[in-house]
Amino acid sequence: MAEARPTFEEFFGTEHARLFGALCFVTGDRDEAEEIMQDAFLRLWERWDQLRLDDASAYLFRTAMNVFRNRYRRTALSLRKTLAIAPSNDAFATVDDRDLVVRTLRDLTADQRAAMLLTGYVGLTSEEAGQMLGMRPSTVRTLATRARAAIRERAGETE
Amino acid sequence: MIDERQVFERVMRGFVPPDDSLERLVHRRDRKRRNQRIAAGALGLAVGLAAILIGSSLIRSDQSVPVQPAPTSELRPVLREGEVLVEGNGLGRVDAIDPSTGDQRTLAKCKDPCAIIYRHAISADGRWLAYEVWTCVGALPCESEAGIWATNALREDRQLTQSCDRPDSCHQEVWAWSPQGATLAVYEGGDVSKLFTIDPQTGDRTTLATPDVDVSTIAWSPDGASVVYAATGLQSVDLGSGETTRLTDLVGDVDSIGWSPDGTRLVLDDFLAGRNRILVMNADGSDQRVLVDQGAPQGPGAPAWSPDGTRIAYVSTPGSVGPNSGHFSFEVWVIGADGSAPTRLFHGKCCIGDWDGPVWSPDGGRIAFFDDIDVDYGTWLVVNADGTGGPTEIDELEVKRWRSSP
Repeated sequence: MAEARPTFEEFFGTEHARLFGALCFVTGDRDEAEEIMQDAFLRLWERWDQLRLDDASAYLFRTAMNVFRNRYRRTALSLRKTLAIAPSNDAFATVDDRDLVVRTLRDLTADQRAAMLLTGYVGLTSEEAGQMLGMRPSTVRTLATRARAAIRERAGETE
Repeated sequence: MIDERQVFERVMRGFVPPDDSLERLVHRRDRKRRNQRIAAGALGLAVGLAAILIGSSLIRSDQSVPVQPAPTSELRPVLREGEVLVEGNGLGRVDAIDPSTGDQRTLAKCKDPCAIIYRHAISADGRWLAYEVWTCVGALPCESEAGIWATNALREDRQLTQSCDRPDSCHQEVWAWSPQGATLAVYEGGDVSKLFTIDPQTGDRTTLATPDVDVSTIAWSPDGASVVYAATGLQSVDLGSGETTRLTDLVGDVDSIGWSPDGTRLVLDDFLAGRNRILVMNADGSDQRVLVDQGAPQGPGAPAWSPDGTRIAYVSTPGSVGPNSGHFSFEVWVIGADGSAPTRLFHGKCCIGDWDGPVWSPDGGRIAFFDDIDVDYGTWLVVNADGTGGPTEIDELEVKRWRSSP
């Protein structure tokens, strides 16, 4: 007997915390993460009946990354970082502000965190992460490498 | 040695989503559905009739947005000979560049260093540059600078609209320059939604309609005599008489509208009942035909008329590809305006990322588009419109020239 297709609400229940965490990690801002997550789920919901179930998670993540990328593509985020203006609702502050690694993550750019997340946590190849972020694979590798180097360097300073 | 996995796990544990995430999503969806029901249901007709009455009775001039005094000098074109527009480093600037010399200068710049210029366009007479400033980006607060601005060759910047409703919220704005002269058609969403034209020189406004639902796109007829907009169905405002005419209700959420070069036909792409479609119809709404109808999550879109009005180019993202099947391939197609001879001109090996176009060459022989996945990031490609040959790279500035050609 075929397994019953979960409702959208059930799917939301199993996926939203993971997606929210990933988006907090990438954006560094809880409000922004929530906004992107809502956008992505709404787009998925509108197409819920057309999606193959085994596509849904990938489609959701892809959509969220698209929303993230479009919002940040021509934005002043990098400028905001340059000017060192703190995010309005710092996601990393809720983790552990005293944690050295967390503080280092906060200082990385959103692109660096995204590259690190997709290759190091989600388990995508540089090619796959590049497709998701709209970057060349070499750019993804460079961003992730720089992010890891920054963390190692900061950790090394205290040893 | 740092265990990266441990870092991720530790950090992720601290990110707990709000308890009411699903409730907020449901509320958002219901709001959207309510608007769609209004658009599709019996109310649509009543709203349309009301819009016709209101639209024709409300044609009037007003000065509801203060603008700076008009320049007294005679205006030169914003761009000097040979120059094209470029974004200034992707941040809050619009620059002009002369490709032959490489000289670059700034035409418009945001006042707030955190703001961005989301969109910009030069008026048909070349004397005004309109640009839309966004301050509601990311976690940034909405500032009074948000809205549509215009500047001229003397760098006399003036704010034509304000899109900031509240400190944390900006409303939607849709705008397009008239095909002749320099009149801007603007739809302002928010608390008092309104479709109007505005003269950047004087700031004078003429209200065209007060749609009950958001307008998604507007398009001037080639002769500048009317403006078609998509809200509840498709409607047309005659600028001479002020009369609003309902062209059709048989469309979904319309993304874009394009007039044929001779002004007799319309092409649009919409999303209706889970289907992405490209439709053509006469300018009065008659002879409506669906040229492309695709049910994939991301279907056809961005239709563009050929210069002779016989063909339509469009992009399509027909199916899942790659190891993560949430990726969609990217294609460029051309089809006869009567639905004949659909021809695929480009099939991306991989997945849609960022894209732009399609843009026809002035002679109608080639079609350019931007593909950031199959080739190096940020590359424009061009294909022959008859399907012969493969894609080759083309300079973005050349595409800009095509876009600005009459």
